[in-house]
Amino acid sequence: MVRFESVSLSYHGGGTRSAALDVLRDVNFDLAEGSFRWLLGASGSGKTTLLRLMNMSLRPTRGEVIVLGAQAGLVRRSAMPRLRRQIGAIFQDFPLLPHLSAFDNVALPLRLGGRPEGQVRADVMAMLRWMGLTGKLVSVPESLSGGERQRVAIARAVITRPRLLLADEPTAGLDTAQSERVIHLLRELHRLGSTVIIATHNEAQVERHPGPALLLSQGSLVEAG
Amino acid sequence: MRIISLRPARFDELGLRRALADRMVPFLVAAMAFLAALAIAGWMGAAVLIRHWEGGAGSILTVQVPRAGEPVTGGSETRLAAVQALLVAAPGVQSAKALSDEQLDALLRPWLGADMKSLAMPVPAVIAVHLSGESRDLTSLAAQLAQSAPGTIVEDHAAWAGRLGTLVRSLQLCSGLVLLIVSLVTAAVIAVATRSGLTARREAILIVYQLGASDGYIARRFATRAAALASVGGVIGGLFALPVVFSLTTLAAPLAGRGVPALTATDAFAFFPLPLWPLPVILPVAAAVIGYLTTQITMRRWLHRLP
Repeated sequence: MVRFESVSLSYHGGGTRSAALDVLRDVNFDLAEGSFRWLLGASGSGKTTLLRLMNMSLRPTRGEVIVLGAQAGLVRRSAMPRLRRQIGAIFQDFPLLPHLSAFDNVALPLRLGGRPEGQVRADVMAMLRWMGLTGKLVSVPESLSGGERQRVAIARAVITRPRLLLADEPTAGLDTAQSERVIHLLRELHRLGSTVIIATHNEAQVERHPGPALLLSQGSLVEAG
Repeated sequence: MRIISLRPARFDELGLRRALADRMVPFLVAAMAFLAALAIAGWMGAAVLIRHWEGGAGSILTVQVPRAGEPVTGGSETRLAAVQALLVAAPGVQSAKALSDEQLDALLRPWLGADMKSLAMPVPAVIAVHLSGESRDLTSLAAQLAQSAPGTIVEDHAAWAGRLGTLVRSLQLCSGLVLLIVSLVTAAVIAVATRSGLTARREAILIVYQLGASDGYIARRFATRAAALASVGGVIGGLFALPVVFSLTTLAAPLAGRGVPALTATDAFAFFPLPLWPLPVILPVAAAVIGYLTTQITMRRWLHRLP
């Protein structure tokens, strides 16, 4: 499902003589289909970069990243959209399309996947109800609070029941009740067969929902669950 | 609960209705379409003139026979009759008709005045010869005519018709160049508008791209919008160009052997050259095609840089 083989990623500064900054160093792990992992580590340890590599929005400087059977950098461009549609991603900035309502933002992945409109409506309504956003169907992101925007972004990421779900601090900024609701949703998705990876530095949350973890420290994987 | 009035056919996930300027593109494309219409009309008009001159003036000879009424040497028929007989028998000659006195008077009146008969100056007989377009040997024909009636002059209109033809073909080439430049400028305008729309909607494109939209899907959304805006410009430009093209056609009509049209609406419509009628349709379609292709290329090149 997800395999990292000797993966490193470095950023170069602006000048030709500037030293490379290693964000990830020689990372190796293999996750089977349907597995669940917490992704733990201090801020700046490389959690977001690791998730972006799995999301194929970054390419490694060295090593091989294989996601859903496709190797980053070697996948045919025409095959990428289908691959991306099987990956749900929740990133910390929770980007939404500003001119679309909450309903349309959540419906977007379904429509891009060609789902019939009748099914889109039912699925989106159910998802927004679960997220406690029933009263915000036609609200545009500008009129939503930060927490509401976050929940819309999460709903959009999970609406297609992706084979691989990547969540980067999905509950940051939410109150405890909403956080629990979101974690339950992600665990439910895992129970239904999705591979779920949740990056967090909230130790209490991990204790409440114990599970195997990938632990990063200064760009190196020190524990592979 | 408020009912969602979402209609997927109008679903604008990339916000293109606001991103691709809906005034600038049609306005600039309309200006280009207007110029294109003039260039096309010029090209077609030149083609009509060439056809007319080469088929008309280019196939006519004028033969002047001095002392036309005198008998030929050693014969009883007049010099005019002898020349005419030779012309009729010559290969490639369709007809050879001597102009009547009235026709000659009308021809010379602008230079010699109304009372031409009172002048002592001898006027040669003039024969208008229509050629059939087959191979012609005018040198030998002129020699034959001069032998039969010395002093006979053969004037070949093909020479100046040919020079005019060359001039008009040059104008036609210029029209073609103008059309090419107009097309390139239109493509450039649309490329700039697309790039500006792309900058304005970069975030939206990246989100849609990450959610699994293909390059083709995103490019098609932009291209369809650009094509629609360009076609609106094409319609406006074409409609504005029609009266101008109509006026130019009216002015050029006598040169192409057609009369000036009567100024009634029916006559005017009937007079307007058939090939120019589809302009208000051709221009929007051409603008839409240019808009679609330019945007597709611009978008795909940009999208190709994404991981």
